[in-house]
Amino acid sequence: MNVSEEVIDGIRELVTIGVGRSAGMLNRLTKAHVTLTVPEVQISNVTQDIQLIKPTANSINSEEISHIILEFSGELTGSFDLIIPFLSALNLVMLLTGEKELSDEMDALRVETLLEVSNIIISSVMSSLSIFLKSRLLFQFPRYQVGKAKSIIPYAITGTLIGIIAHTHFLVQDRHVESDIFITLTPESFQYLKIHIEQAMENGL
Amino acid sequence: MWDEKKSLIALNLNTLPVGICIIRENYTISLWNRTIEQWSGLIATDVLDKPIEEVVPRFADPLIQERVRVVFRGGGPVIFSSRFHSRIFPILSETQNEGKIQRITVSPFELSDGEPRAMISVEDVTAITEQVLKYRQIKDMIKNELEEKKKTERALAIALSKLNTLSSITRHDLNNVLTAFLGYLTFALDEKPEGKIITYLGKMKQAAQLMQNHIAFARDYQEMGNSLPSWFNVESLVRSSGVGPTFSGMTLNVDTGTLEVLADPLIEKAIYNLLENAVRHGEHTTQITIRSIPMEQEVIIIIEDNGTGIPLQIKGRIFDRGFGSNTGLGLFLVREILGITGMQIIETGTENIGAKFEIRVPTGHFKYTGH
Repeated sequence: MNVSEEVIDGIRELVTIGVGRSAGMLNRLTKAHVTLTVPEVQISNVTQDIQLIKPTANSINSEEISHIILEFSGELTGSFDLIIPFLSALNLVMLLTGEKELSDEMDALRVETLLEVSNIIISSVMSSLSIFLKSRLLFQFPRYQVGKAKSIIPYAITGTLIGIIAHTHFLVQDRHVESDIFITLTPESFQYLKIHIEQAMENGL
Repeated sequence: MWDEKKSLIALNLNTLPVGICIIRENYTISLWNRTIEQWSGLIATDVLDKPIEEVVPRFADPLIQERVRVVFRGGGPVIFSSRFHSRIFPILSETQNEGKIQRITVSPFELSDGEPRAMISVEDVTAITEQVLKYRQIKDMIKNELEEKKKTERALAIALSKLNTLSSITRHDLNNVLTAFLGYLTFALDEKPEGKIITYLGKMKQAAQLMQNHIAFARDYQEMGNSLPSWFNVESLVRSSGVGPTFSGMTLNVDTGTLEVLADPLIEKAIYNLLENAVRHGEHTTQITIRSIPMEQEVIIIIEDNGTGIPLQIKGRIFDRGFGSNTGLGLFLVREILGITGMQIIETGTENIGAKFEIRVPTGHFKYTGH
């Protein structure tokens, strides 16, 4: 898909601002040293180029994944999906909560914790988009699901055409956790975002 | 019209089993539902229009304020999990069961007046949290117990292996010495001694042979339970055991169909011993019959012969250790081998008519192939 470098830079900037803000909140919330970076952003026509996403999105290659979804509509319509390999998600929760005993189970309390952590990232990125666009969006309530990557990913892209894929990297107390952010938008929504970014670039903002 | 709408919303929110508090963008409270009234003991009329941090002091926390701000900035709903925020809204009393552990969500809430609001919903997750924690505790306990059990099993396996090695070496060395001893006794007897010496030498030879039997017994007993039980077809066991010169001229009638039993691999020796006893002690045995009787909860395998039978006065002792051990395994070992997989053996024959052994096989330890 042909998207100019300026637009990709603009989107990367918006995602990075949101992710950066969320890292600060996570630090204060968990009292653990959390660093969050977005080393790679890719924009793709997901219904046609799903194979192109795979090398970037490590999580897709995992057997079992934890998946947090937030759907929204309005001037931007689509969904925000945070995908973490299941064991990494479990490790992340245990690191952030300081649990000493290793476990292989994502019980109700851990799911709730993961939802809050994901929610901090998702809402920070979404608020950076909303502030930039000066628009109010309608949101569904975020939900969590776990399953095989192959069965979940197609669900995430159903009915949408343009995907913004941001590979994120957590560093929590010297431990690395990889995850992927998928923001899938309708073509009209992507166009709307693109125009705003181009205008902002022209205006030198 | 607008007041009417607000009343309707308040009425509906009052029926929900979750605590609801709606705040304006300036963080003042515009709705406080009945559930949150009950949990906190704070009446709506006392809190309406007050800044939320005055009523719920935890909202003065800059981190919570920043996250609520995200809702007003268009970032979507915000979740405060019970793990990081055990209780944000106050409760009336520490002794009450509801609302002790809370999960809070803050969502954008818009009415037709266009004023941005946020709806704070407070869920009571006390019961589920306590259950999950209890479940984790039980799981940890089981995990620890399993680890302890594994450690013990490993230690026992090492100890057993050492004992087996020690026993095997000792037996082997003892047997070598005994063989030499018996050899020299035989040489001594060949010298044609006289008087009491010949009697003493004969008794010494008998004692040495008895020692050899004891060593053989120890070897068989040690082997018991060392291998995992497996399934044996009863007819095949009998047919393979009842061969050789001992059984020449003997009629073996086997009627056990496709019956299989779960047993220690030493069952082959046990069956051989039962058949061999029938020949050796039956004196005039010509026929051995093996059959099975299915019962409600078990199967009984019957091994009977037409020999002299077992005299009444020794019936009570035939399964004792050492009894009859001069000849092969002895019935003591037969009973032990069968007992490894829950089988029981009794003798129910009649003297002068024949010996009759009944082996009771419990449910789950027998099957019929093809069924």
